Amino acid sequence: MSIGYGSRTVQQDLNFDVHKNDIFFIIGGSGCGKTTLLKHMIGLIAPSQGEVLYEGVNYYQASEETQLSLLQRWGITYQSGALFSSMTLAENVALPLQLYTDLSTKQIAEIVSYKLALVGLAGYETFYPAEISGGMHKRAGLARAIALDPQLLFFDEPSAGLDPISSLRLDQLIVQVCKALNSTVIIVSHELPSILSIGTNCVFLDAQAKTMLASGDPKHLVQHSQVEKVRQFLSRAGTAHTDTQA
Amino acid sequence: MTVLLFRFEPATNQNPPQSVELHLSGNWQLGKAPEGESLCTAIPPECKHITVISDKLQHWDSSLAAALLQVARQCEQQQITLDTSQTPEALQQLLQLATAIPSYNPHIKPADSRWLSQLPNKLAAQWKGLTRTLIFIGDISLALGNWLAGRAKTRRQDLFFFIHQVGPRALAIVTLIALLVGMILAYLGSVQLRQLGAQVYVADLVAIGMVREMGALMTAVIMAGRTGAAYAAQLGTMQVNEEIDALKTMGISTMEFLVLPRLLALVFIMPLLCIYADVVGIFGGALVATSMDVNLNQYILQTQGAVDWVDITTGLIKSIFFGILIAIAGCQAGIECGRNSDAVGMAATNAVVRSIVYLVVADAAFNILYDKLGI
Repeated sequence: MSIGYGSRTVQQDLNFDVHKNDIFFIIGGSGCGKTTLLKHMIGLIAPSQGEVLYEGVNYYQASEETQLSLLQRWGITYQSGALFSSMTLAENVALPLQLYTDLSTKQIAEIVSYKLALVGLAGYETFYPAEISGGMHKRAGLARAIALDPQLLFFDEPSAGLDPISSLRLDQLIVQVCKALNSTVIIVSHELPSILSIGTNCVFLDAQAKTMLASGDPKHLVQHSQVEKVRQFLSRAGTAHTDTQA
Repeated sequence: MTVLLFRFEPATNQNPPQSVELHLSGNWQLGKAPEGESLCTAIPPECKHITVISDKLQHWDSSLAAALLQVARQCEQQQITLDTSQTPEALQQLLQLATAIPSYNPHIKPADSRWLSQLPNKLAAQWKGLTRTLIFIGDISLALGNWLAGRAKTRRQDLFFFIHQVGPRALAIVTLIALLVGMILAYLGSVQLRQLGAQVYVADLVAIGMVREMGALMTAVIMAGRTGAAYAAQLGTMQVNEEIDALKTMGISTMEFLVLPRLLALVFIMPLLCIYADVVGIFGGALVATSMDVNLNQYILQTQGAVDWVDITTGLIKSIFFGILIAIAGCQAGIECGRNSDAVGMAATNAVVRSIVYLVVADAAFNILYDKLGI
């Protein structure tokens, strides 16, 4: 698959699989096209070449009905949480339930209360996004993403801007929630502690080569990748060198 | 047929039973599962311990976890112990996660909804708003003083950029509106004047109406909707993106850097647009008048006789003042914008509403002043 914006190619010759129950990381340096790849995977931008297959179904060739049914099985959290600012947290989480299920108002309220409690935001139902912190934004975004018990969860930089403790808690939360919901997770990140602690599979994108340099278990790649750049990235060797030079 | 998905059974022979078992069975899935509240209401009275048993449970999803969370909260309130160890491990994990952090209870005092009790707060908010506007005008005046003294950090390219945005790009809409206003004035006048056989005075009506009043006012209304709202949205978005914070921490005055070029652009362009609108409006009037037995030469001569430099100047002074008011309303709404997308929309709306209120009040004040001065 080749990805990019208009005639500008960001990455090409991408070919990788994500398996069920994987915690799959899209990794690489800043500006290599991680978020762009995610946008191609979640149906926001069609690839200039190639295809995105979900259980053999080509998303971009599928009918509108098939696309909608796929979208209902996905949960997506964005870098900033992407909460609707005119709605309370409860209304944000309730929205997919109201649109895609015929649950009663009381049942929706119970599910919303449960999802918010799951991400540690019990009692914040009536708060607006402007009234909560950045970390809470991310967790509320996660609560909205898991509202429909998705089979596939996408995260764009979940730990960005969080302190190490909050980041660790969010990692644990992602693992626990996904294990309990039996979901597959795809995460865009360059947070090494997260990648190495919870990742089971990954793809490494390179900005210079404009293609993927490696794929596989990050814990394996850190020691045994045949590409030095990948080993350096995962062991922070390159970063340490740069820091010393600085 | 309704399938029973849960039942409470006594675990001991006590009567009433203090220890009960909650048996879960069947499929607990979104849309098929009962409400958590129905489980809570079925908890036997006098019960002190509940064991959840799920040996006949088939498929389940969040609906079961949500219902059990309700039961757990009810049990906590009634000091009942809840044992979920005989449920699937994943379900136990989810319940553990959901109850790990206690519910936030801010104890916010509910607002008094009575109109009279809200009145002092509303008056205080209005007073604060007025004070903020006066401070804003004061800050702009200081920034303007700095600019005149050559000390302001206002970039020349910003000023030219906004002049281009405010002027040439607004010509099309100003042309359309001014032409139509001139035609409307001519139609209105000709209907009345025809009864007196004085259609030729339509030229006087259109000329004086456009030059003294409608040219400046209609241009200002267009600019309030077009430019005032744009200013508010631009500055509001900068507030959301913390760009205004960045300017402040660089020691750059937001008044000099952001507000002044926008205000000056409007002050320079508004009189030009006003004169243009006057000419186009008079032309629109001519189109109607010539179709109603008035000769074009007659119309031009009549217009020349009706309008003098005093009339033109009164309109121009108004337009400059209107430009200042639109810039103040737009920039103040933008600078005071909240930090979310909703607030940007509110800022744009506030800018337009405030601008139009300011314009109408100022126009009335000008007309009274001109009348007192005899011009």
